[in-house]
Amino acid sequence: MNISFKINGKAVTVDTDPMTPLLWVVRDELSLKGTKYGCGKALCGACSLHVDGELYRSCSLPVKYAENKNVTTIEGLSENENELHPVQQAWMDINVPQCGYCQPGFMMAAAKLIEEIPEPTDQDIKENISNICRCGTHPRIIKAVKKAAQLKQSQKVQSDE
Amino acid sequence: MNTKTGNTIVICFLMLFALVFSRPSTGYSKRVYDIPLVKNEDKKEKSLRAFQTILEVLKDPRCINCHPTGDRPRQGDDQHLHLFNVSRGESNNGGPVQKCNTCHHKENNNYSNVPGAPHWSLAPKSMGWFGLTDEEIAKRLTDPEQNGGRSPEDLVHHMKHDSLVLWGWDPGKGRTPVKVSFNEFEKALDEWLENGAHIPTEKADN
Repeated sequence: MNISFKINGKAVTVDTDPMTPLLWVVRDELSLKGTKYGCGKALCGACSLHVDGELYRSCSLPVKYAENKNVTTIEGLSENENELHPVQQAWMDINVPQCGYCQPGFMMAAAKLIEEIPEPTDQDIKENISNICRCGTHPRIIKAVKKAAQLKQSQKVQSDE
Repeated sequence: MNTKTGNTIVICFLMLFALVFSRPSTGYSKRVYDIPLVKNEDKKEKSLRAFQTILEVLKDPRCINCHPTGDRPRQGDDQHLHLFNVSRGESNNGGPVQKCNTCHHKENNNYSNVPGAPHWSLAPKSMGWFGLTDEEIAKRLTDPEQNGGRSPEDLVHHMKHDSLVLWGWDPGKGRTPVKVSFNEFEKALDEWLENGAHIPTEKADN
């Protein structure tokens, strides 16, 4: 079955079983390898991406639910190539990753979090991001999410001026 | 008509006359109202017995896990708190970032084995049952102030036809279906309703 959607702003059509996990389509059909396969059971969050701005665990999202929607992966998080997303900048500034495998999923969750909660507390971050990092980078992730929120606020102030 | 037949008719007539006019008026009233009263008691018992079967379903992990009295659903037959800090949120479908449909969709997922059904979400807090007594659950279930304005007929319709309720009998691999069969549940719902939709009450209320 043909299923069409936009991914990182680009229109695509894939011919696949509608129940195929979006993660498989993203990685294997569209060759976007930033979104990671972790557990395959919607437990770890490594496969997190956005569909129409909402956060999904793509190993548990049949591709049919992406039809005619806008999918954003870590590769498309920044709106343009010349400017990093606040989350990307903060992740670099705080030097968050250790092995790095789970980080794209965390970053997609963090991007959604600072959209919804512009000034998140530690509690907000712990309650709303349940991804798993086996390297134990969570303390740095909390710092980075807060920094990303600040960067986003300052970008907003600059664009309002 | 021979004499014997004529006598029989007269005797029958006299007996009928005696029966009608000899009954005191109070006795007549008592007899009229006693019969339905006995029937009502039977009906109430039937209705309450059927409700016990309904309660078994309501308290089954497949149902009550998403009817928490607090803000976190439960998981599994052991009814542990849902992992990943899953919370009710403002609309009973999760927090601002992680919603129910971050992972759950309209059907069971055979790849991730995440369960799913249409409008997967928590029951409203007013319909939380976890940890309540049978009487408290019954009261909440049937109180229109707490059940979203549903009449007993609406409740029966909801429990027979709602796709999220029906999921309890088709929960997917590795999950125990509701232990009462759906046929038995349907029968209990009909009996409960047809016999007056009675619910158990606390002793203090009697």
